Order: sequence, then structure tokens, then C-alpha cells
Amino acid sequence: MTTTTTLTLPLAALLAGRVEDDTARASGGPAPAAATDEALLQRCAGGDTDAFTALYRRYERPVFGVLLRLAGQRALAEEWLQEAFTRVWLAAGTHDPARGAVRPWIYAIAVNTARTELSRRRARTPHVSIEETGLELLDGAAGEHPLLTGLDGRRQAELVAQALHTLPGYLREVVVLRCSRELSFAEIAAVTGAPPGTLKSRFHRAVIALRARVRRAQGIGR
Amino acid sequence: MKHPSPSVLLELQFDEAPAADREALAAHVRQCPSCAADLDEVRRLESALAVGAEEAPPADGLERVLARVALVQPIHARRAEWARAAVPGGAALLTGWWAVRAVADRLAAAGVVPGPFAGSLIGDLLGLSVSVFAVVCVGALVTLAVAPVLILESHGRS
Repeated sequence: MTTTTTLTLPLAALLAGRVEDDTARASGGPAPAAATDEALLQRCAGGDTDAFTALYRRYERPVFGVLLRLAGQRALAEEWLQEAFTRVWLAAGTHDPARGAVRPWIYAIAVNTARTELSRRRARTPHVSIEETGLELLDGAAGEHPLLTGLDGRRQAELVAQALHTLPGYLREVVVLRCSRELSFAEIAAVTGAPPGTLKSRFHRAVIALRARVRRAQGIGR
Repeated sequence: MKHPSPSVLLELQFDEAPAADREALAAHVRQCPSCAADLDEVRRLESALAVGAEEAPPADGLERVLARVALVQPIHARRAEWARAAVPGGAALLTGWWAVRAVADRLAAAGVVPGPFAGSLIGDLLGLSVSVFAVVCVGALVTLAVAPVLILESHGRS
């Protein structure tokens, strides 16, 4: 009984802190939601959970969208979102504004979380050969049939989501990050460590690979 | 105009093409079925990925993350705590050293430490031993005094 009380206390205190913060905002007090990312992260480094809450609220939706696309499963994306923001909290004091803005830094943490978790899962699952991934169609066998013509939106989305998961991570990442419209190629370069020119080339290769996979799924060209 | 490369078409699609080139590129795409098809393919991909992108994150996500972060301090904050602890820690060490020397001097003055060892390392070690013994005795007395209260409080909570 004592243990339960001890463990739930910090959460209760934190939640109470959030309520107080909302009250302060309503009464014209300090509003973390209006602060810059840099200011919020600096406050997080000092252990300020209100600042962390504001930063989380600001980024949870776009980061979750990216993680959902990278994971392909909602449950996994939820788990990764928690892990990514826990890492943001832990590493808040290590961010150097001279080396880049907070936004790409947060996405870099999210992408690295996805990479770590995926490699961990891959280590526990049987090996899939390159023939099974559809990448053998990258070299010109994709045909000229445009991607996703004559399909309704929902079916298009399903086919692309399925095809996306047959791509290697480095191709999937650039497509997901750029199509999220949250980061430019230059910012994705900061996130992934690959130069912008390479990323554009990867994007193009990913489109060709996706075209091939979608055609295969549609039964075209068999 | 020559066909733009796939990278340039991507820049056009994602509004990253240089402003000076944008109009000429757009005009080319309007007239070139091949480039228009390539660009359309990227648009379709983007639209397909946008389906479901509005899916909401978990409603209790923040609470779950806060529960996790409550157990750990940011690296920077942990460093700051060490820095804060350094000042009182240093002061405590200096005070301790002063107390040891004072005890050692008194022991020498009282004749407990033989003359040749007074003011030497052996005298200081003797002073340190007496000081540590005194601290342990005081600590034990405080524990004995406080323990019943803690035990009673613990029983009361459970």
C-alpha cells in the first residue's frame, strides 16, 4: 500500500502542476504554449515539466504521424512516441542551438527511436531476403504505368502503406518525412545525416520501388 | 527547356525550387506530358500518405510520458544538481578538515599524543579517528531517538 502511494505521488503532482499551469494561463499568467521551442527546451533541461508539456503538445501530432507511417501499426507508433519524448526530456540539456533548431532535433530523436526499435524487432524476427522486399524491381522493371492511377483514395493509401513497408528504412524515412510537409530536404539531411542531394535521389528511387510494388499488388505486369 | 531532373521536380513539388526558377519549371511541366506525369506521381504518393495522417495520437500519451519522465531527471538538470552539491560538499570537507586539526591540536595539548607525533601525520590521523568516532556516536544517538517515531509512522501508513 505504501509503495503504491509513493509511486503515484509524482504523477499526481505533475498532473496537478498542469492544472495549475492551465489556470495560470487562463488568468493571464505565464504561458509556456507561447514560448519558442528553444526556450521550452531550455526549461525542460532544468526539469520544468510545464515546459515539457507545452513542447509535447506542440509536436505530438506531427511526430506521431511520422512514427505511424514508419511503424505501420498504431500500437507500435504509440510506444515509440512515448520513448521518443522520454528521450527528448532526458537529452534536453544536450541540445546545442548553434548546431540546429529544436524541430529537426526532435524529429531526429523520433527517427532514431524508430530505427532502434525496428532493428530490435528485426533481430527477433526471421530474416527476409531482398527478393521478398520487391527491391529487385528497382532496376528498370517498374514499368511506365504511373503509380496509383484509377484507384480510390482509401485503396491508394492502403496499397502505398503496404508497399512502403517493403522498402528499406533509408528510403522509407525520406518519403515519410518529406511527405509529412514538416521538414525540408535540408532539415531531413540534419535528421538523417545524409546530404540533401542523396535524399532527393533516394526519394526518386523510393517512388520507382513503390510503383513496382503497387503494380505487383494490383496484379499489373505479371 | 531541357527536362528537369527528378530532384528538381521534387523541389518544385515540395516548394523548395529557387524562386527564380519556379515559373520556368512550372511552365515546362504544363507543356511536357512526361514531366507532368512524374510530378503527378509524386503528388499521388503524397496524397496517399496523407490519408490517415490526421489520426490522433493517444489521448493519454502525455500522462504516460509524464509518468516516465517523473522517474528520471534530464541530463543537464542532473549535472546542475551535482554542481549545486559541490559547494556545500566542499564547505563540509573544509569544516571537517578544520575540526580534525582542532581535535588533533587539543589531543596534543592534553598530552594524549606523544610529543614527537604532535603536529605530524600520525597526530592528524588520531584526530581524524576521534572525530569520526564522535560523529558515529552522535549519529547512533540520533538514530536511536528517531527510529521509534519512524517505525510508528510506517505502521500507521500501512
